[in-house]
Amino acid sequence: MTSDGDILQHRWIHNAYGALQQRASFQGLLRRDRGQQRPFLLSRSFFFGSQRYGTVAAGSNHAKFEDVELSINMLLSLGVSGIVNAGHDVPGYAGVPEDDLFVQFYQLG
Amino acid sequence: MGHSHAMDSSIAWMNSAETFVFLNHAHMGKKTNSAFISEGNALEFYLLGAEANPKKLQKKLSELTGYAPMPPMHSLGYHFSKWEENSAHQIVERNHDFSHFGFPVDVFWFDSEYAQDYQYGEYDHKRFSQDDVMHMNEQVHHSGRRFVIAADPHLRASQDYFMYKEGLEKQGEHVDDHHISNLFIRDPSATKAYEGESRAGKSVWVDFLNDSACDYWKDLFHPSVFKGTNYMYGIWNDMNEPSVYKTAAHKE
Repeated sequence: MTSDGDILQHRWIHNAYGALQQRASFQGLLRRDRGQQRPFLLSRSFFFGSQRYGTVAAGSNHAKFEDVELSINMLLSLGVSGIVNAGHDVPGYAGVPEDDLFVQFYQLG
Repeated sequence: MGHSHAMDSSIAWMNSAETFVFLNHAHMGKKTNSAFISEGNALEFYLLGAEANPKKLQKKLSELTGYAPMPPMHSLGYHFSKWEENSAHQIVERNHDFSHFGFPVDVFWFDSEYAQDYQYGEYDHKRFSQDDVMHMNEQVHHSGRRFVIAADPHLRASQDYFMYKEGLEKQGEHVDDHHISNLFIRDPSATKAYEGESRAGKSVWVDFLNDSACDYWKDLFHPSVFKGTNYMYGIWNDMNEPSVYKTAAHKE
């Protein structure tokens, strides 16, 4: 419900919800530090304009070689979409990496 | 976004409803084509083009959607983040060990486990007593490092949780003759807060469409509210797709 009392269904704004939280959090950090510090904010959900409020996460990846490859695709795609500050878990959020995967994932990071 | 030696072009499909995108590559004499289908909202999209100049295309997109600010210097380093039940003592130990073994680290992350029962905005006092948190902050500050702490949009529906309690009190309050305060997203009847399941159990979700809710949320990061935090703490908005367990988020 907006401040004017308008009611919007979730279906219309679902993909922008995360970005609305990002904006409020970013402004909260500016308020806390009286605008004297660059805020650091990470969000897992994002939308057009999210780049104005900090960095984004590519989501929960796995400790697998194919996810190393995917992470490059995802971050480059985000980059050309205007979201230039983005990252992903190294060496994978889920699973236990073998030694060579561990090293290569860190090298890429 | 498309690229050839002669032309760079892109389509920015601005729609926050459920959307399907079909990309059909050139095949059997047919040219490459794409299709966009959204469940609703006004039809709004931008076609951008630049002659053999991807940099110019990027500039056009940034003029449309906004430029990114410079990130804080420390955020470009190594972040240590692990989903586990930790404590102030453990972070102090880790901070010491990273220095001791000469492994460069810049930021320690707190996933939702820092909070008792996932009540974001307050440390679990058993593992993070006030004194221990102050000691931890001093040690990590001394090492020139920072923190990032989770604050997710789902709030545990419990009378023991200050954000839930205060939010319910402000729910539906008239700010003035024309403005209404709504802290939590409402259910399809629009008479009460929507309740669903999240990592925190039965939860409500902050209504970021509402100015009063945003204002309340912004104050959460002040050290007088989120006790133990200070300028060293960055914020992590996780699970904000938003994640609703056991069911898809109700579309109404």
